[in-house]
Amino acid sequence: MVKLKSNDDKEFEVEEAAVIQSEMIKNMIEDGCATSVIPLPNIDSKTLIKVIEYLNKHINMGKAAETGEEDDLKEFDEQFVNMGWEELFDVIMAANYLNIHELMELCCQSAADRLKNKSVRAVREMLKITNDLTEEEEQEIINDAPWAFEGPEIDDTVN
Amino acid sequence: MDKEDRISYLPRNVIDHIFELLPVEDVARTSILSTKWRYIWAMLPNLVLDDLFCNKLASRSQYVFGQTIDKILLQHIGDIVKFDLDMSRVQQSPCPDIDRWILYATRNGVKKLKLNMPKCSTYKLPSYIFNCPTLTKLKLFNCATKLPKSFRGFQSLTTLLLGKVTFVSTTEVCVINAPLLVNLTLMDCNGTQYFNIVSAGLKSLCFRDSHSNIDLSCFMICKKLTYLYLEVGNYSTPAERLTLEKFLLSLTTLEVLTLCSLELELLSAGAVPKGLPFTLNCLWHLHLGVNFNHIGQTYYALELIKSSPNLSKLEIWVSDSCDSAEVVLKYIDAPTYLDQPLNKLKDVTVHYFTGSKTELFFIKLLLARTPSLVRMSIDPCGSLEEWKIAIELMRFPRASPKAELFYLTNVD
Repeated sequence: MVKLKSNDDKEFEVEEAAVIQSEMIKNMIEDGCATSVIPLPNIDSKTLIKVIEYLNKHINMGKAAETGEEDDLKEFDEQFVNMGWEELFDVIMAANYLNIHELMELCCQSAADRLKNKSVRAVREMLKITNDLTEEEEQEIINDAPWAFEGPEIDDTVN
Repeated sequence: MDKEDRISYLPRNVIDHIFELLPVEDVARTSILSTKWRYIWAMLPNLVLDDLFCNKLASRSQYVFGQTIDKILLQHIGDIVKFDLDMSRVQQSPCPDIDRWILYATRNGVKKLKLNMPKCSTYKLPSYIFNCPTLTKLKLFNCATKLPKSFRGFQSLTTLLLGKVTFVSTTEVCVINAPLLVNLTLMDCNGTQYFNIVSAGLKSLCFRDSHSNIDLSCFMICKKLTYLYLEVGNYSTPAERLTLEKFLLSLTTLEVLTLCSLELELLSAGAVPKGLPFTLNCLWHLHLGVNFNHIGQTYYALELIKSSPNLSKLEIWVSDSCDSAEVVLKYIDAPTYLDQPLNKLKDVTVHYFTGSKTELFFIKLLLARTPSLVRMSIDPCGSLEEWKIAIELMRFPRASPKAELFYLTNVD
């Protein structure tokens, strides 16, 4: 068992087989630096719980193909990324910091799926970005790459 | 920091990662989100111009297509780590422009280069590609090349994939030195006899649908090979048989192996083999294309299975089979043939199953000798008399109490 501590001082015990999906922690264990509690100053307990839930589910992932559990994992992943933008970015930041490759892929794919084909207005609203460009600047940007701003397929709805 | 606008404060590697999963139009549009976003797209290290994008522009005019890509490259800031250009659906490709774009990429630190030309294109690769020390992954489709005489090799290349690439004939065989090469795939290429690739660290080798042979003996130094896919079909001589057999003998670390019907035909030399001169101890996944009318192939397939003590996954692709192959039937129905049980085999799939007696007996033999089998899948070729087959299959004794039988029927 490996002990992890979130930045709000909560401790979590995780099986070694699960936690080594994090390259960072795997390296710490190999270097003998994981004997006591590992503090994670960038991750709060709410996010850490989500990450641990993922790690526990994806334990021994290589064996899933053999035992036909792929569908089950796929369903879990779909449910897992069903969260708001704020929470998704928290998990992405944690996955990036802990270097958990598969989790990073999953969450970035979800972010990309939500942004795909969206109009500028929709993206600004979803991500709460304030537009500080002047009209002239906007026109300049459109002139630089007109192909990016045309086409009836651009979706203006917010999700 | 504005707590609300989180995405603007994500690390660049995360933003790059998300953008890599989006079509280029969506990514380019982010430049108008706000001042902070204006140049993020221009600084993106990965430039992926996929077939949809290229086709959309080229369908307007060649001029629009050329101008647009020129402008994208001109506006780019910093290194282009990955450059993908997929023109496979473009009708006419502007060749001189492509030379310029490739030059630009090779001068700006490109590591991963993928160029997909229109089918039937005769585009000749510019020599800059062979003079680009930063390249780690190179994927080329539908083009022609003449290896320059002074070519020293790819010093950093780890992956090389060539599909429908024609090598123009040269007087000498060019030795391509690629010391770091790990993955090599040659599909449907012409003129492969004009070069050899030397890399002792090769892990994956795939050679398929080729119009000319490749000298397998130069791969015998690859002591780390774990993945091998061979589908050549141009062999004829006994010398080629010996080379192929020697090559297989040298592959002590092989984990995944694919051999097609013609390779089996060559290896068996049309006769019934008596044991193989090698054992594939690390092999766990085996794909075989088998013509069940040929006794040599059928038996060589069984010999390969017997010589792979750690095999857990087996896939058979039936290339042909009929009920009248009496000789094959006689041999395959002898219950003593597979004397040792295949203890590790868990998953078997028979693709293009035609329902012939030979195939049924082959399945019967496997079911009787696989005590740990979990799944036997039958993937039929078209619609067969399923009831008759099912009745036959049900009768076969199974060595494994856990074995489930799946008959994969087409939904359409």
